[in-house]
Amino acid sequence: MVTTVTSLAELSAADAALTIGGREFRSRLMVGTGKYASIPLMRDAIAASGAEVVTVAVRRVDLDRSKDESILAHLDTSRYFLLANTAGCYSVADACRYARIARAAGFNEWVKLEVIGDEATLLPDPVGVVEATRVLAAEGFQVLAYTNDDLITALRLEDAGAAGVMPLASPIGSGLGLLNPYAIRTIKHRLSVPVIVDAGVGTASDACLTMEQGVDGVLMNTGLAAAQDPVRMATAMRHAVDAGRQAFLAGRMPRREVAVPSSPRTGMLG
Amino acid sequence: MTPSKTQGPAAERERGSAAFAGDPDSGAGTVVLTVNGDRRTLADGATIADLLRELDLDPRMIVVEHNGEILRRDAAGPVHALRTGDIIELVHFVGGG
Repeated sequence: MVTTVTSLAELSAADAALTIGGREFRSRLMVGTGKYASIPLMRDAIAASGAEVVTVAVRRVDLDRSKDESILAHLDTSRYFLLANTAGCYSVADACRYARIARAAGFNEWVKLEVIGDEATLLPDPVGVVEATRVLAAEGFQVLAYTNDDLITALRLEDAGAAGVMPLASPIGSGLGLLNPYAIRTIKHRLSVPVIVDAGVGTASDACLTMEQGVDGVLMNTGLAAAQDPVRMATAMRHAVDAGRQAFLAGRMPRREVAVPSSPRTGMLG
Repeated sequence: MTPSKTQGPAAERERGSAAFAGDPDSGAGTVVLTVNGDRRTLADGATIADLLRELDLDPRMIVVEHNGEILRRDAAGPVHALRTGDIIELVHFVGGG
């Protein structure tokens, strides 16, 4: 008897590509480039993650340092799709300014739009992010809007022209995992644009559970960068995102409050 | 959050110009700029390209904002002459999530 083993890679290939703003991606895992202990570690972890979309931040060149290199010196921009963020922006005006500067770098018209509302929690300002999305979408940006796990804000973002909506699993850098699976599932059900869960994923089970909600992808940074072994964690996350996606597509069995035996009730010995 | 009228590049420039008035550095033959928040003196007639060269920065890795206006790649070259009080932001991509 011949047994056919279907690999995860083959299963993933059977899934439709993730399409955002008319662009197709094979990987549903997006990763950040911040907080790694070293550049080689960052490069290896990103490679192990299989990610195609890689986020970067927009900052002043540090003129005091003799050699303050751009992250671009360490990333193969022909291999990775750069997604600039507006991290650290607390107003619509600042977020738009950072987005326009990022676009002027000449790579693409995409932005991971953050308008932060509170320094302690880094929770998004939902009013600000909707307003900034409207402004930037009208200027031709493909806006991926970082937001709360709130359905109404997500709907407003879609209405404002977001190419994708990025609700949080939990606060940025917290590693608390998916705090409200119901809210994320509801957002995914109701939106037409892709939903990428961003922030708070701490370990592989978080990523898997998130993908099991049916969302289109997951974005993480600290979950990899702050792991004891970022490269191994990146490998785990890659498998977890795949596993969660496959489990979602497979459709889970219904939950029951009572046990149902897997083995026949009949044919027991006399 | 409503942006205050005292914030932003334009307001910063106004303050910058006031600060430079009567500055010994801003005498004939030089221009005094604010580059990434720090004062910097260049020869009169200096351009953005001169500034980048002096700072040993690769123009392909940098986005230049001149008095709040983002310069296109081809405009960051010699044509953009600098004047005393100008506010320059030299920006690039760093690691982030």
